[in-house]
Amino acid sequence: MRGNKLPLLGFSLALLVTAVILYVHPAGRSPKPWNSSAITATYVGAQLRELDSGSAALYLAYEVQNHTDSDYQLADGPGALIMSRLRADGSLSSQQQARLSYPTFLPARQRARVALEIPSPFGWPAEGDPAYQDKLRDFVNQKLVDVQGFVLFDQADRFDIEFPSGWQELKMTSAFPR
Amino acid sequence: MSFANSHSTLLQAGRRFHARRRFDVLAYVEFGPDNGAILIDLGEGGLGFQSVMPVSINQALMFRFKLPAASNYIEGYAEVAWMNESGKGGGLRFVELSTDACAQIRAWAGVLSAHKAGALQAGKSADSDAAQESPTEHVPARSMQESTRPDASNGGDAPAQISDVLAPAESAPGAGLSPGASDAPSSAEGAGEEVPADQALLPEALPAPEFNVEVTAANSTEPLASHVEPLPPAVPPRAATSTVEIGASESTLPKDSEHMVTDAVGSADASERGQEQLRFNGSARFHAGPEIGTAGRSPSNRSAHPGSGIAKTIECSEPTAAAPGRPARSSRVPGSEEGNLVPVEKRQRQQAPANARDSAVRGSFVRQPEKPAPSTTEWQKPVASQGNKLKPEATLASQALKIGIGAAAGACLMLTLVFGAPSLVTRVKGTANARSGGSNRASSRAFQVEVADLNNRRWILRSSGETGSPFSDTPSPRETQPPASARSESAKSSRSEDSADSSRTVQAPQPKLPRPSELALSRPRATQAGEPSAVLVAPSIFDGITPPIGSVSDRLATGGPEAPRIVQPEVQSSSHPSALQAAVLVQRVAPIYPSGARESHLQGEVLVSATIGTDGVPANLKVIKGDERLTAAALTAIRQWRYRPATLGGQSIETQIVITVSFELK
Repeated sequence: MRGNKLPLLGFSLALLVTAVILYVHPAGRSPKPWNSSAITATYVGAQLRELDSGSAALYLAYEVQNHTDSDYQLADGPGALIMSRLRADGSLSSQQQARLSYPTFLPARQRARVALEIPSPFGWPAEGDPAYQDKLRDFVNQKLVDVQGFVLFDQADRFDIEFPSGWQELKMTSAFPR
Repeated sequence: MSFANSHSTLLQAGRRFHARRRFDVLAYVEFGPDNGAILIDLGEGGLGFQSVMPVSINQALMFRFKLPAASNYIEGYAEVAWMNESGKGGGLRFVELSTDACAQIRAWAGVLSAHKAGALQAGKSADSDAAQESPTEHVPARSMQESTRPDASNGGDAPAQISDVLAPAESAPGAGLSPGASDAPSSAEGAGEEVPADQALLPEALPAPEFNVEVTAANSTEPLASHVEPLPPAVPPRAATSTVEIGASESTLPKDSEHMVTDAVGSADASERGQEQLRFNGSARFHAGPEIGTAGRSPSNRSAHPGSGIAKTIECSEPTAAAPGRPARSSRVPGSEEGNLVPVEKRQRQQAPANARDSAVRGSFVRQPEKPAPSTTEWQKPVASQGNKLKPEATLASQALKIGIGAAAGACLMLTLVFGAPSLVTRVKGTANARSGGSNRASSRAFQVEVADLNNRRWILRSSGETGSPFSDTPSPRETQPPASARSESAKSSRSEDSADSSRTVQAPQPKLPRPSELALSRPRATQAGEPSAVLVAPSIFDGITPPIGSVSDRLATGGPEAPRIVQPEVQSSSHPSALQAAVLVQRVAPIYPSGARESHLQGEVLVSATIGTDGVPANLKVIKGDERLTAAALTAIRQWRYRPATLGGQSIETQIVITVSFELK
């Protein structure tokens, strides 16, 4: 064997050995990092819906984009957890009980619209209530004033989907008094 | 007899320091574990071989072989001095050889290296005088070899002619011989022969090789009998051609050469032997130096061979290996199987200093400082301090270094990819997120919320887009303008069809619900400046995104500890008879929590698509989602539900709804 091929031989051997070690050794199999770029979401709109006289739900509609070459099933379940990201410091919180309204099949490289549902008890104001609009505002502010956005963690595929807010740039210092 | 190889070997011999002897039996030499060769000839300076695998010039080799009839191996290190075109034949030059091995080879070869004679040059003048007195014919060694050619027609001219032929070989620049050896003058003058012209011009002081071959007939005349070396009895005749290399020359003695000499010496039958008889008539003595002793020298150095037909003596300057009972200077091949070739002691030159002789002797065998003799049973690794032997190890080290460099680079690359890629991906992800957030921020200057009530009336509740979040706490215009009663009135009127006061903060929906054709609109109607912040929206961007209004109430489970509860909102009467009224659940039956699911703590939702007919009975039930252990119970319950059918303009219509039944363990 010529001398100039020896470094290449050693290089290949080292790659092989290192790959094997990293594959076999437990330290080499670190937990798969969260992938934030595979599925992205874009804010579309919000809807406050009266469910009954004592409850209402705030729907946040998003358009999700599958950037991968694999189909993706976006469904609520034990492996999917939706948390809100607080505006104050960006930390996550499970105080808001948000969930997907319905499962969505997201083909590879396709877009689809989904809705996050935040149900909550709410006394829907009567039609003749002079504070009809204020009460609705209060409810929406209560749900979203401290929230910077929502994040869905798919623990099976290690995807985290950021659901940004559409109210992010608004000034919160003068938030509506709750 | 044949001397076909004589000329070529003579030319090759110009590079050699030592005499070589050709093997007449098949002998092998091992070149390590991977190669081997057939021994062609052997001398104390090297050997000729024909190997199995090719070798290269200057290649360092370990060798090991056995001499014929020897029990132990001779081993050492050598380098390839020359090779033929095929690379499988050539000559080795010994680099390291033990003293014992040297002696063994020397004894086997039975000749002396020519250049040792230079150390004994000092005594040549005395010998020269003796030679003149001796009737023995003196010829150079090479001349002797050439003189045995069949075509040597006349003995008197032959030495001169051969000397002319050999002149180029002797003067070869690579000969490596001492000047005395390469320019050995003929000693023919001592025997009265015609001296070649070129050799006659050489000064006598020039050193000359002292290789002497004395051929003596046992039954020759008086002067010969006194110095004939006795031969061992019952020596078997040689079966093959033997080659003797002498200094810069090499002579091939055919197998019948001894018979020729015998005949020449003993019977002197000129008619049968031709020209050789002229050369070897009587006692003949050949030597390459002018000082070679002749017949009639001191008888103490020679002894007769009683009962032997012929004795060939080869004088050797090597003082070692003296035979017992002989003078210390004598050298004799012990147990030589070579028959009539017997080395005899070299006559020491009294004038030559002892150290000079020693150096000459030492130099002929070991050119490097003496070292312990290598083991005869094991191959030894080359010593690292010896240049030529470092080549294999240096090559291995270089290859190992290259492999190591490559391995290190590969490991670094692999580790970089494994441990560096995640951080790189994280950075890219962060950048992508920043871009995504920027686009979202750009697209959401003003936050607005669509408000939908149970009657599926939808409004837009928007912020100013500047202060509050999601809605500004800035007092809205409506709060400053109409009193509560008025706003209430206006709200009421807004729910009516004919309210359209632009000064009201909350603008009522359009007096008429959008017609079906208006549902094709995909955008909320634009609001003009000064318009109230709430406007009627139809259709909504949430159409198709959020569940239908009628099914939403079914999704909230506020039931008891185990049984799933279905919460049905209160049916509200519509103030718009012509509006689309959704189907309303009027009779519900709680599903039975399956025992298996309860034991396994199975919870979840079951989504069922149903068509509510005009009679209010759900039909066409299709499970959209849910665990199989829960769906049966959900379907059984839903089939018992009854709805108030949806109406459009007061007419009952079929509607499609999605029912969600939640099973929760509390």
